[in-house]
Amino acid sequence: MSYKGEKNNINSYQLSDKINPLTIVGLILLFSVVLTVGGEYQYWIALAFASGLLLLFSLRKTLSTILTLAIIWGILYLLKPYLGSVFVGSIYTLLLIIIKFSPIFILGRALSSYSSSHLIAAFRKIGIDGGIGIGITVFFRFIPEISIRMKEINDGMKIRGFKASIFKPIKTFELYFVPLMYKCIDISDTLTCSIISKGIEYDGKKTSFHEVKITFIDIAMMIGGMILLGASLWKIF
Amino acid sequence: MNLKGIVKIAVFSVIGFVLTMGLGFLTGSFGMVPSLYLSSALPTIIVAPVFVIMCKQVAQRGAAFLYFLLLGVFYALMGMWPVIVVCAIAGILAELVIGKKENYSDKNMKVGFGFGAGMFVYSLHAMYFAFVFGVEGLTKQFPKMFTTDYATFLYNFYSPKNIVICLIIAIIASIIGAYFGTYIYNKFFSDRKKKSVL
Amino acid sequence: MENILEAVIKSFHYGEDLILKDLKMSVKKGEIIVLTGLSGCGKTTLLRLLNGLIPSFYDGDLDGEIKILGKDITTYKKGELAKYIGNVFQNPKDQFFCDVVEDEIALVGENLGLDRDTLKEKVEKAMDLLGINHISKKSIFKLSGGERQKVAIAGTLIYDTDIIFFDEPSSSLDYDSIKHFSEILLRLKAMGKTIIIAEHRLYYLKEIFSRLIYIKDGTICDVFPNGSLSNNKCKELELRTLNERELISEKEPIAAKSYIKVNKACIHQGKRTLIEDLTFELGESEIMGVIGSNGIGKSTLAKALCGLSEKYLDVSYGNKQRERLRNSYCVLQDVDAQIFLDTVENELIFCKDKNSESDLEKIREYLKDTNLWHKKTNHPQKLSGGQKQRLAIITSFLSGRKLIILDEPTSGLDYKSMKIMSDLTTEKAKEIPIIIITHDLELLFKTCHSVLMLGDNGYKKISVKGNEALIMDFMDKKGNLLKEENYVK
Repeated sequence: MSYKGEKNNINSYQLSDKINPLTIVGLILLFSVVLTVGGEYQYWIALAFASGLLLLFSLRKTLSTILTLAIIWGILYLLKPYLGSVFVGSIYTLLLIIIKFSPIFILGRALSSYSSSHLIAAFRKIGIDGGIGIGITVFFRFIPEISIRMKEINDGMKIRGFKASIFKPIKTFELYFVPLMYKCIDISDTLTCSIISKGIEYDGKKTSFHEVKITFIDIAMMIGGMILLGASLWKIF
Repeated sequence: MNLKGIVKIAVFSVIGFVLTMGLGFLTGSFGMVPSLYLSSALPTIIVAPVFVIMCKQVAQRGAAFLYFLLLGVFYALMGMWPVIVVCAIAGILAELVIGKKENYSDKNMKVGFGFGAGMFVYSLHAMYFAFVFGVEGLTKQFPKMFTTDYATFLYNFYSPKNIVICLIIAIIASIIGAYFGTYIYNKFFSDRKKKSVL
Repeated sequence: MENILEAVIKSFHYGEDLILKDLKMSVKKGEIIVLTGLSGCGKTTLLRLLNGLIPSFYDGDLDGEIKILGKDITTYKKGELAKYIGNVFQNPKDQFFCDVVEDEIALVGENLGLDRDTLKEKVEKAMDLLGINHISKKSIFKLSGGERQKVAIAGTLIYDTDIIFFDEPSSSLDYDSIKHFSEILLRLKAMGKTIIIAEHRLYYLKEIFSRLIYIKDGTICDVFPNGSLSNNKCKELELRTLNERELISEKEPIAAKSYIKVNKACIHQGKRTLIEDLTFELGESEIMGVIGSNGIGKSTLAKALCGLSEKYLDVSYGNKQRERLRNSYCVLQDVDAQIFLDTVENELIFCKDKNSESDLEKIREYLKDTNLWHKKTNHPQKLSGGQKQRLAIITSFLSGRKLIILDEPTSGLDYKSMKIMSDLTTEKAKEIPIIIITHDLELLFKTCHSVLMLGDNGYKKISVKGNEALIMDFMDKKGNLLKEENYVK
């Protein structure tokens, strides 16, 4: 499959065909321990690894992530001289914690590059199906929908002459979220009818359009992650 | 739990997740110390109507647990897998508070209080993960950026007095959330007969 | 030929409400059946009984029997019906479970256990048949209405289902897409599929259907084999027209003095210019239709005119966005996003800060005229689609603005509801001009004095009366009409 690129509004997840989503899930688990107990070198290796992996999926996402991290680092350097102030110090610490866990967030971003169907196929292989599987599919299906709906509601409010106000929080909440929640009810009913009619309740083995297998690349990545974990734990013991 | 209920819970939990995470970041933008005090107070109040409406619509046991579990799964997809454990416990507590199946569709406030209880448990994770997990490694990983003096200052934040304040704020937010969620449901989603002015 | 589908319904209740009674129908393999009737006649309920969604999803008490392929529908195992039945719902976007086109098409095959190689082959074949290979990896959020329809149909071809149900398939499509859709229906027919369509719009099915079943008050009133239903009969039954070419305008051209002026407006979508140098005037009581193919910029124009976009536009009722928002009102296609309050009557009462007794009397009148009086204390979001549309439109009429724009106000409405909207709009237009963006030619000819035709190479505003054939040719894209006329670019 050739790489078509996001500018054609086509999801460019072709490389995900080669990397098993469960590998990324595994790396998230490993890195969460590495980042908690590991040292400086382990952190930078984890960050470089995660960024490199994201680059395989999307240049745009990698660049935006690096830019975000660079901005946060810049803010940290600017705030450092003022650590005496409690307020500044607390913002500083929070940003540092975001930086600390950024390799995991980057891996999460890489995971979101897969289509929901591909993720379900992977989770089904390890026995995660049913409500959780539907939940994950709906998550990816519905996340873009939320911003579209909120924009439509915003347009509707402008036309009606209703204004959001921080001094009227309950009214503002009612204006935005009541139409959104009714839309949720409608969409969930239609979605359910649709998947019922597509045989989701069929009591037979489910197959997958996407091939989910362990390749040499997956094994190599997991070994790399475990070596990093080993190096982090070595220092403790 | 039938398929209709599962899909409905999934859709509402996505809304709940987006709000919880977004409001959590908003609280965090005021800095570490305010976010330690406030924790998940804002999401507890704002997300309550989403939960109450979902439970009343689904009206089946397990709805509360599945909601919180899915919340944890979504966090895991973002890379924050330990939250699943906290959310599972929150979901179990919410189910225990709601109690019997009839409470899901009755006019009482059990569903609202169930959410409040669940969110109280959820809000504790911010206290633990942010401080213990977070600061613990900061001095090791960023020795030039983070001094031991500063880490000590933050460690000392968790005096008994401050912990009690955090807990009281969480309880108040849970109670407000329960009432707010029930109010929105009764006003816009229930079948209560309204009086005409025409 | 054996019956592929049989239904004998003595009665069907939703709670205490009797929805269907004494209904018998049978369908042979390869037939295309159209179910039609006024809103609330029971055709959607009948469709749900036939495709198994009652009782899989919807509740209800059936006294009767439905048979698919000679077997009682209740004896099929859970999910098994998907092997024999495909469904395309009214709003294809809301029915998509996956976020990528080919995944959505493959979903039914995955659920029913088709092996991967066969599934890939079937998905490829289905996309080939419908000409959508080029969008296989596209996000479902980036699809046009016509593309969504094709993806939904492709999903029904994976398991070689014998019967395909369509629930008001044309309601989310523009004129051109409806034409393509009717071609797809013919292809499906040639493949031997049995098709059952619940529909209000009939003109595009005229050459296609085998039988048209007219439902009234929950029972089959009449069955018309193809060729036996005339336009006059459609009028008598208050159905949509069977032959759009027979339509004539009911509105004389208007010669009122200029009330609204739009001068050299440029309408953009992102960095793209959709419409350039648009200039037109509206008379005080004028109702102007706006027509054009999908993507030409009609809805974007509506948003610009009402102040939702374009920071500056040279229009007489307000150059700046805020002024346009204050002085005009647009009823958007999705009216759900314009309903905010807790009761139907409050939606109308809160159009103004203060209501006099005559304002309240007007509200009562509107509620009665639109059959919403008995729903006045209900939550507006719990109304049916058609009821919400009527509510949104009368909200706009009560807003007190100088210009009203209605974007597809009658999509999915039956003839009777369309007529109510047309009459109300005509009444309101005595006070202020109204712009109607529409694909509904019946509404256009019934209601509009003039029409603004937006084409790829320009635009033109003409009277509707006397230009019916020109307008229909324009909609049918027969030749570059705008080039031959004295158009403005």
